[in-house]
Amino acid sequence: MLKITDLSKRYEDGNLALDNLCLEIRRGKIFTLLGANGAGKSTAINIICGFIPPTGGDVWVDEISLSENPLLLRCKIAYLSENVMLYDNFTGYQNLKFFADISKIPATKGNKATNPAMKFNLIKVLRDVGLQDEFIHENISKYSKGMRQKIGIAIALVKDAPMLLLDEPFSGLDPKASHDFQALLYKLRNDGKTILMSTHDIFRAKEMADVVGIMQGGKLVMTKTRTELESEDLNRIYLDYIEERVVMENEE
Amino acid sequence: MNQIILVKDIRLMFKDLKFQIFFLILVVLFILSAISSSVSFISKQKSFQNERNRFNDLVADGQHIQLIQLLQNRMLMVASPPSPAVLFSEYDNYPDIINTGIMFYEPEFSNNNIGLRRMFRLNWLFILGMIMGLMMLIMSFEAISQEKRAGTLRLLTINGVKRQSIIWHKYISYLILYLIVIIPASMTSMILFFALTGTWSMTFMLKFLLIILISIPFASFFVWLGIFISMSKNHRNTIVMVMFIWAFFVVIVPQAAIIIAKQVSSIKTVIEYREIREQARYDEMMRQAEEENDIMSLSFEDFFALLASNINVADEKKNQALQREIEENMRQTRMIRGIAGISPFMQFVNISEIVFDKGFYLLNFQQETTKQAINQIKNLMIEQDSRDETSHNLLYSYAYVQRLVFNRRGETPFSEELFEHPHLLFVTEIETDDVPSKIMEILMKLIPILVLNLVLMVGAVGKFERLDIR
Repeated sequence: MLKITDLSKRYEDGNLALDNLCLEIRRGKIFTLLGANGAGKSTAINIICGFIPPTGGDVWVDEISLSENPLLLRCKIAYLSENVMLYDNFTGYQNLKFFADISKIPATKGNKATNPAMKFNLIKVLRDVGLQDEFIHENISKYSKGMRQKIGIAIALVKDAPMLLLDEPFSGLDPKASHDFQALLYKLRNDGKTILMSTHDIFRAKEMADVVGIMQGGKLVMTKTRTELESEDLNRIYLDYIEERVVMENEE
Repeated sequence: MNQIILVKDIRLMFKDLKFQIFFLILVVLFILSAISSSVSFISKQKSFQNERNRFNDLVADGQHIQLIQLLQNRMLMVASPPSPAVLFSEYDNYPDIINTGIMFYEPEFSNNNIGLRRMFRLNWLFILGMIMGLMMLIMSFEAISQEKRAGTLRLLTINGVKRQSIIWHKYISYLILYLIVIIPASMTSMILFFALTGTWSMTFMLKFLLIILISIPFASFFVWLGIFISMSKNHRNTIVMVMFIWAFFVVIVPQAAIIIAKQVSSIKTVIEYREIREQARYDEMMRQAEEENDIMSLSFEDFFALLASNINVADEKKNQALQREIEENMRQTRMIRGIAGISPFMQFVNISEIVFDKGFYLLNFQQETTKQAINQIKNLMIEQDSRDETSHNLLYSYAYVQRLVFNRRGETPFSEELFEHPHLLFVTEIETDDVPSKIMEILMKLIPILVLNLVLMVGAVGKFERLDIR
């Protein structure tokens, strides 16, 4: 479960990127964050991941606080960005092996801390995410964006983290790769993973999300469940919020 | 220390084209330095042998007067036998000449020894002091920015790797890389040198290893500098910054130190000192010749006495004339060393001089003792020679003084085998440096570079902790 309370971020230039963001996502749910550029979606994800420090508020994943135990919290998070970050001089398998080797599955009651590389058959994981065999031992520099995305999700899978943070993961993927990736996310949700995804794709957000949130000016201005959205036009709602902001900006 | 991250970093560096190019360049440079040093060594060995033969011939022919004259005119080439230190630097150039003015010798003082000329000779000092620094800077100046650009920094962070751990692994892997490059390349160079010159010296092998060990903090300085630069926001200009920083520490600072010091206190070169002394001696000769009317009618003993007085007067005149200059020299040396001391390259040069027993500098602080010893020896030389015309005492005694002088850091211009009359040798109060004091001196000289490392390390780690890695 992910819980965000009063999360704020003000950059050195004075820009308030997040303004007391509050959010809660239950286990096994997909939460999509919609919002224009600069709305604060990526900032929120960056703070949860520990890439930038917040100026206020806190984040909990399964009762572990970001401010109190950031390292342990990161053990519970897998992250996938628009452009999957990998070592270009390594093969897909070497990248997966490296990140599997450095990740630790934290100890639980009755179980010691383990290394994902020992728990998973990495080649099988790569096949499961849809990477073709002939590319497994190829250099990443020869991979398409969709293939890199598959390695990224494989890294997230072997980490076996309960929480997945996806920052515009569908951006730039071709329809086939998007379809495969979406299927994979459903599978993860059904396995009990909690997913927070930021996107600009309103249709996919509506299609996939259990809860949709719209962010504007660093605030979460609206949340709607899948059931609520069945009778509403998410596209219209989103555009209304965007236009309202444009009007407000013009008035100012 | 996480072995997986370390291996990853080292593997990535090995696959880096920059590293591969540098590795090749370094191997070629090390091999070339072995070849050029071997040529220099063989030529010095030949010239040393010729000089020894010349002394022996003069002694065998009973040409003692000529010997004394040659000694006093500093025209006797009694250079030390060449040592494998030539592979590191041209330190075995000294002493070219037996020179009572040796106490004034400083590389920076002489027009023939200006820093740049020494720096750009193809030897280990050039490779370790100049090229390696540039290599470590160019290798490491993208350490963080590359991972940040690729986004892998974020992936490392989210996978639970602490920031401190990331930076330390980078640092250690660069140092390991340094040793991986330098040890095999230098060993190849050394073995090639020994093979080409037909020599072998375990002492020098150990000294070379010591120099490599000492070079680590200097390589480390450039690595920290590179890592620090790699976190700059405007990465586009960093390559220019890297080149400037390297040039600043390696070329600009040492040269600026020399220029500033020479502007502040003008001094005479070794050649000018020699001219002053020769002029004084010539004047004295003329004065005495006028007094005695016919120098050729003098007996052998009287001629020696005249010569002795001539030498002493000339030396006295020289000493009086140069006393103020010496003080200027000392002041200038301190100034040069003080200014150049901020350059890690100059610190490395200074330490290498101790390791390879260059050792002139401490003499500066023992001028009076040295002067007294030299005068005492000169008088005894003449006395001995007048008693025993066929002995080698004169030359050996003189040489022994020089040995003691040079032995301030342990090296002798003469090999021990030349001392066939140990009972006639003089013992002066000049002390030699022992190994513990050398080690202490090296450690003291290492302190500035260690402090620089510490400052850069704290700065880089602190900056990285606050770095926005989005």
